[in-house]
Amino acid sequence: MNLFTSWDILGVSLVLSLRFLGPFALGVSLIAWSVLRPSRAGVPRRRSGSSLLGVSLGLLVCLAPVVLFLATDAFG
Amino acid sequence: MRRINVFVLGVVLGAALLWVCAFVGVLGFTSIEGATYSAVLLLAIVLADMVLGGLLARILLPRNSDSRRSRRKAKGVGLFVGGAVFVGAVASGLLLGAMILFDTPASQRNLFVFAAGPGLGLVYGMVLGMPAIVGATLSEMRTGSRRRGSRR
Repeated sequence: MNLFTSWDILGVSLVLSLRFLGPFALGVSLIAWSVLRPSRAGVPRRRSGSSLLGVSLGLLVCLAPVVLFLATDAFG
Repeated sequence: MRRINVFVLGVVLGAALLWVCAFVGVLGFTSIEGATYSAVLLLAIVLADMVLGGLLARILLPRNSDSRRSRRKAKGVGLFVGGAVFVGAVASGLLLGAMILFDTPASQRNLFVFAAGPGLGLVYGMVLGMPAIVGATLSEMRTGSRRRGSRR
């Protein structure tokens, strides 16, 4: 099978990659935004609950497809 | 001129990342280990997308310039970089769609064959554009806050 001529296989692999890529993109973006966002001018920087919430939500979103994949592999 | 160069680099980045994702996804077909390896690579792709988006924004952001014009120029850099990545992924999706269409016999062409490429391009444009926008916007905001801090 020549991979470069079987374009439909590349399409299917792109669809399957989305299962991981989508949650990873959302989770990593959430974590980066919560951790690296600079404070507003004049407001002293403090780690608030919202940034902690962002990090935990991001971690949850990143881990969800991995846990689902492992669970379907173990029990499915 | 610098703006056009950054736009072209963003388009190339978006197009390249879509094809890398396609070949990384093929790894997932092979075995459980292959699927795990492919998931780790996809995470690395997202991180690289965000870092490269930030670097592209750095190229566009004016250095050591405090004028009103340069501040206006610095606005919207994140969206510009993310938009370039989006356009690259959509263009790649259109190319993939054309190749799938040419690969399918005329009698078997249906709605799915026509919609696959453009649909995948749009979805990948959004998925790959989001980390690039976040990286570029963070870079823009940090540069802005540093400039404000040095002015005070």
